[in-house]
Amino acid sequence: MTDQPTTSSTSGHPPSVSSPRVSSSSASETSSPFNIPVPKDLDKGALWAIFRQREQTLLNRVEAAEASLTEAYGEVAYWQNAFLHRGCTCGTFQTQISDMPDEILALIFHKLNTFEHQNLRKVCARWKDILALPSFTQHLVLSADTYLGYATPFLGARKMREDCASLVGDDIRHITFYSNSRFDNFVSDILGASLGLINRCPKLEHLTFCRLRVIAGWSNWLPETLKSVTIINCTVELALSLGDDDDGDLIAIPKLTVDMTGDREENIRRALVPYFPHTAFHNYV
Amino acid sequence: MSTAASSSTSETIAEPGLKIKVSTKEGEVFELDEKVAKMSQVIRGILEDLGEQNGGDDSVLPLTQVETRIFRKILVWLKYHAGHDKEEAPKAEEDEIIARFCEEIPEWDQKFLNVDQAVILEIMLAADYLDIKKLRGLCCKTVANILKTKTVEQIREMYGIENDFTPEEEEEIRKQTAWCEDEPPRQGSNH
Repeated sequence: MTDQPTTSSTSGHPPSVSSPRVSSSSASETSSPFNIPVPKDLDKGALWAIFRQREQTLLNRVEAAEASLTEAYGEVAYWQNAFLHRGCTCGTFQTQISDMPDEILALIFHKLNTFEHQNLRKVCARWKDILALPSFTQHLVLSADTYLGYATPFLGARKMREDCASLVGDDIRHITFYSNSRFDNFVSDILGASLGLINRCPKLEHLTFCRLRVIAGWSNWLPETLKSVTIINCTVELALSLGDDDDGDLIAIPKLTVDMTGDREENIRRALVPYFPHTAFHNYV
Repeated sequence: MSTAASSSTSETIAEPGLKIKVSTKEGEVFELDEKVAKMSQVIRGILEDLGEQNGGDDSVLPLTQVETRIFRKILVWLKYHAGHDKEEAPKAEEDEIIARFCEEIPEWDQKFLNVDQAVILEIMLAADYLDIKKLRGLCCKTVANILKTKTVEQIREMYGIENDFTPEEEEEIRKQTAWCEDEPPRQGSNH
């Protein structure tokens, strides 16, 4: 223990009095953390220095302990994996994906978007039946990243509309657009690109945008049946301004749900005003 | 294994150091910290029911569906995450979207699940049985990430699945999905 308070003490405090107590307290450290002997004749600044030093030492120890804990857990996992690979005497696992109950398969498929489902539908009848459940057929999930490789955003948008032509229709209740890419050249136009799709879903109720750049000012074009629009981790742009030269601000919004029933324009304005405090709103929405 | 504090149940029931005993399919008994055990919603539910009846310390919860070697693996995950995660709040539907499509699997969990798919599926089943949603979700995501990089033929071969469509059905599906027919499977780098 190099951080005993007495080591930095500059006063004439007899060390012989404090050292036995210190050593005894370090022996049973956890039992009495508040019993560190502090010389009474120190001024406030020196006391602070002692406490800060002590605190830092302990925090460092916690950090080191946590790091070594993570490492130890990682090593345990590694050896367990090796053991499970070999199977040892208990035999290896023969579990196949076909052994999974339908609910589990559905959970796996739920982690994929609608495009990725198309491939899986061709695998076998059972998979096709699972993917015919309402939670799949009523929820169209599209990744904007699929269309990033095109020469211009316009071409990407057109391809998306073509691809989805057979997917949209009466069934769709919920459309989700998301992106995992930082390059939002195309995705900034996602709503414009998707309007053609959205309008072909006469029973659409919810629209979700996740990690995209979206443009406010679209409420008039969305179907009557729409109940809510949710944006998650998006940047919102107040473009499409009515006769205004201003480009509009670009504001990051972690999460926002706009009620689309009733007066839409008013709802949107009320939802967005807190994020755009310096904008004259009547110009935009 | 140390014997659990057996002084008086009424006193120890709310103690943070409470140990929960569970037994696996093979009958092996494990002693878990309460915090770790309660990450399983099933165990949490049973404990809450027992708590009202002041259940005894010696009772062992039988987890008859979980093999010991899988339970040991899950235990490591539980212990690691019990120490690292904040108390998990129930997720809103919107947050599910992020978890489903946008979240990457954390590095530690990737290493944890670096096993045969058969083992991942076993862990998934056990996590489902114990109702540990986060672990189940990680397993699902891991398998889904494998699926999305494979062609139909590769998937059938990998899992030994028979093509059980009639030629007519196959033709119908082919028509429905004709637009994505010639697309190569996208690679994992472009999630």
